[in-house]
Amino acid sequence: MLKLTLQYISICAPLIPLLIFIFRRSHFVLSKWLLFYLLISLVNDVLLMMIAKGRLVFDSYYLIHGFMMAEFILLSFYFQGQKIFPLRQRCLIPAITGLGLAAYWYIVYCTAFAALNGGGCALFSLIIISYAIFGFEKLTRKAVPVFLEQTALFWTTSGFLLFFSACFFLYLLWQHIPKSGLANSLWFIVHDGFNIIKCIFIAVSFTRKTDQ
Amino acid sequence: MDARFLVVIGIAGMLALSLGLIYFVIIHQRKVLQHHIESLKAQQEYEQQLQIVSLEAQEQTMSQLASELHDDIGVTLSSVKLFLSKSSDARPELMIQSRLLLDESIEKLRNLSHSLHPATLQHLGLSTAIQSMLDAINQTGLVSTAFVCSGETRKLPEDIELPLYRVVQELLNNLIKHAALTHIRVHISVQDNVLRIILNHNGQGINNEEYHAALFKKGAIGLKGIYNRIQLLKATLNFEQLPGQHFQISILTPLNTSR
Repeated sequence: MLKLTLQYISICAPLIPLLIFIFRRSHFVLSKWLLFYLLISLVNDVLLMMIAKGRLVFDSYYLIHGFMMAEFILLSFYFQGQKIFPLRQRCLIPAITGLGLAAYWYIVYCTAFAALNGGGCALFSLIIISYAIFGFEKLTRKAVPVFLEQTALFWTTSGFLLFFSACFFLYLLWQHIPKSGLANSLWFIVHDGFNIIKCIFIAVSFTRKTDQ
Repeated sequence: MDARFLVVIGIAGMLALSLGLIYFVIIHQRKVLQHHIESLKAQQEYEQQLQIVSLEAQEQTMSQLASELHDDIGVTLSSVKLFLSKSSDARPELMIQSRLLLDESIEKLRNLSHSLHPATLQHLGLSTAIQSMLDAINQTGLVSTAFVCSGETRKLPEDIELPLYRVVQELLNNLIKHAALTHIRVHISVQDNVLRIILNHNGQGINNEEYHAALFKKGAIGLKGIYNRIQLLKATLNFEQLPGQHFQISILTPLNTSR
């Protein structure tokens, strides 16, 4: 019951920041990447649910691979826009994104298309976690100190850090988790629970004065 | 080891690290902010001290100058006047002319000396000093003045009276120069330990926005002096337009604040 409730709330969770974005007319320069991310996240979850209920016939793993890569690219663009690295190291994110995508594709190619690429997803999670850490580093190295809770970057970074930290081991040990029973439910509860938290944090970031 | 156990331990560990990191960043930033605020406060205090010293030095110089003018040059001019009155060689019309010029010079000198260091303020207090300033304006015949003093009118410490006197002096000076007025009314009162000085006039006044805009213009030395003294007194200065083309300037000075 808890699993199912959380699953539905998690699917609808991107609507919270999306609605806040529309009503508050938030800044669009950097938030656009988050906006696209929330939109594809919503569409992906709805399609996955329809596939699971048999209302749509499609190989869900193709959808998941596509979503994982799109998520990684959009979040990389977002952190690139936030200038989390000093000027001389700005090419790091495009390079890491390229390597990450190549690694993901290689793992999929070597293992199987019709399975969740746990290793690739864990790699993406690790990269986003490191971006989040650099995001915090950027906030603390500002010449004029800022009130963290007033910056959008603090909320988005915290949201992504918590979500991807919670999901890292889930992805990494995906193959060893039983496909039914309590352990499987735990997988979904953790994933969906932290997805909701992440969406709430993004929604808070949209209420800030700037998107920096 | 069981994979489920590993997952639980892994998730718990990663979350603990993440939450620890967020907590560390928040605490670190709070400390940085606190340090920044403290250094800003220290800088502000230093600037205020500098202002006090600067204004005190200015007052001291003015006082010395006033004393020199009054005691030295004033006495010299009076002596010249005395010599002229005793002299019988010169032509009578030139003598009369010289005496008139000397009288005018002595009067101007006395006024200058008085405005540099007002003896009335020192001996009789702010209310009387302002009243005497208004009387002098009234005597010109161009502007009529009225003075009302209500409530307790005790003598205040010099570090309050002198800056306030300078502020009123500069405000009256500016009004006469720029406001094209015909009447000024000054009301002084003390209520709830707050000294209120209200200036009403019928000329062309300004509002708070215009005052702040003028303050940051190049060369507004008089207005900057007003601003510095108001800051020093922790007082508030307010400009507003009243109904019927009347303007009001109010200065509210707390009397129990440590300066």
